[in-house]
Amino acid sequence: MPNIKLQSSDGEVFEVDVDIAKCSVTIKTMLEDLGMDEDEEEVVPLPNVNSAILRKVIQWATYHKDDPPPPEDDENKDKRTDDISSWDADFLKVDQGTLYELILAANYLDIKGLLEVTCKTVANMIKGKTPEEVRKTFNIKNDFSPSEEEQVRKENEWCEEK
Amino acid sequence: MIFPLEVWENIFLYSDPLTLINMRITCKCWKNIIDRILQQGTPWYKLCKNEIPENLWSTFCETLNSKKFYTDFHEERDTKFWIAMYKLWIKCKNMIKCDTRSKCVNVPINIPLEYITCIDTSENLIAIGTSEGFIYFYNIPNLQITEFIVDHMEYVQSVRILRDETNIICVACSINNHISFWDVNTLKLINRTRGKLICTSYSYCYIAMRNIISIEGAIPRRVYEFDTDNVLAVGANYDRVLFYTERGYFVNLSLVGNKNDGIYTRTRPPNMRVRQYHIFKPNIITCITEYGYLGCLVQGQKWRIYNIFSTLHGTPTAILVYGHILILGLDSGNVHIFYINDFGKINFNNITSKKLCLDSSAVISLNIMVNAEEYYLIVGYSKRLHCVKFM
Repeated sequence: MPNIKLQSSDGEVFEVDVDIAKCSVTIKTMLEDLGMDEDEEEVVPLPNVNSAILRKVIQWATYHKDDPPPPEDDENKDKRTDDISSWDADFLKVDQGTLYELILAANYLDIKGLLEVTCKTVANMIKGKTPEEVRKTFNIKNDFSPSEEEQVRKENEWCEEK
Repeated sequence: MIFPLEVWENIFLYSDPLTLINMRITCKCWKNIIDRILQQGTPWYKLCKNEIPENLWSTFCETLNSKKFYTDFHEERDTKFWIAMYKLWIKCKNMIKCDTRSKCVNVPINIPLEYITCIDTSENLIAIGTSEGFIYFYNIPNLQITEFIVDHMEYVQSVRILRDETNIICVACSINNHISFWDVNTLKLINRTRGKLICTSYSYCYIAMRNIISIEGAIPRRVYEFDTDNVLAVGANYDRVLFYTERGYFVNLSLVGNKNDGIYTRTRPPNMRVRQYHIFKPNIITCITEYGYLGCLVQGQKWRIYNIFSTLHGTPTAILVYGHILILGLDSGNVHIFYINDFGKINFNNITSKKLCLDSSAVISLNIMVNAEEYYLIVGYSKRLHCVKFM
């Protein structure tokens, strides 16, 4: 199997099986657009991904290389969050910073499976938290004025547990 | 904000609507994304599917609209319906903890001894039958009388409202087994027939007489004669008819399949005289016995008879089973609302209830109605009705 070289933002070069690299739609398109020959010794630069994250992404892609291709977007598909495989769950036992960078990397590299499983993990993190806790976790500023906030609270009232 | 918007949107697609509603308050940008997601029907439909037992969907659906069955609603497009259904479910769950505000309406009695005998509600319409054969119509929320009609000057034993796409029809059954169908918009008599018991569900009317049940309404009239004995109570759930007979047959029959395609169970009737039976969707019968005991039967199980006098200080005169809610109207005029997990065994000594003290005469009827996201319990007494709004 031919390999290609991926270069992280901090300059580290990873040699990866082409088929594994192609689970990233971004890399796949890049290879096709550039008409890169598979035996050429060219390096694909990935300026948005650092070496620590790229290493994780490659680890994930290598494990999942034989997965069936993800199904087309289906509106009726059940958006479950309790079906994360145990390997993925272990893989995602990382600090929050790494998790967020993985999401950004999966989004940038357009790796559907990785984006799905990381988004599910974040969705699970949000569940059961108060908005205040969520703001803290994700470093979000509350930009509602007190009266606007009161208005939203009123609109939400109906579903509060009594 | 550590993620681009599209990543948040992706994450929210994996969150349930309740979490999302809770998160609307996080920041403006989240609120915008979330509101867009919650405009779609599917997340709500799934929430209903996950949380509301499917055999209660018909109950809620009929309260919200009585023209279309829940399977007629589109999972993705009918967002409003799924939200309304979910809200009604939540309201019922919280009903015994809700504050209430009640409004009393005196029905204009035409004849000195006239009194209310029965009430039915459908969407925003209330129909009231009286001992002198009058039927009055009221609208919520303003509770103004809109119209009245005089039936055949016979005691109205039960009154029901049914709707199809274009018409609102009031069906009245007199004490002499005369049944008349009135068009509520024109107040014209449409049809007369005979029968002892009536019940409506969506656009159908079910009439029982001896061992015969006929179905009128949107479909051509159909008549079923059963090998069982006399029908004592009839109920219906869209395309299913439910009835209970003298010898204790409880039948839950699909009208789509053939006649033997139903669930027939037989339970020995209570060991005492029964004053009245009521059938509720999906499969519950209640009764009031001659000493004022309360009976409850879930199809396939045994009758359980409760003496509630010692705990509630009254005997039941009106009963409503609505999803997990049991509402009892007593001869003392009080109304008690219970949340029941299992109608097969209720422990009245160990259950919290919400008590409404509205009037001092016996409760005649209980109905739940929903209009413009306001939730009402209509409690009928002999001369007036109380409209209780759940806040």
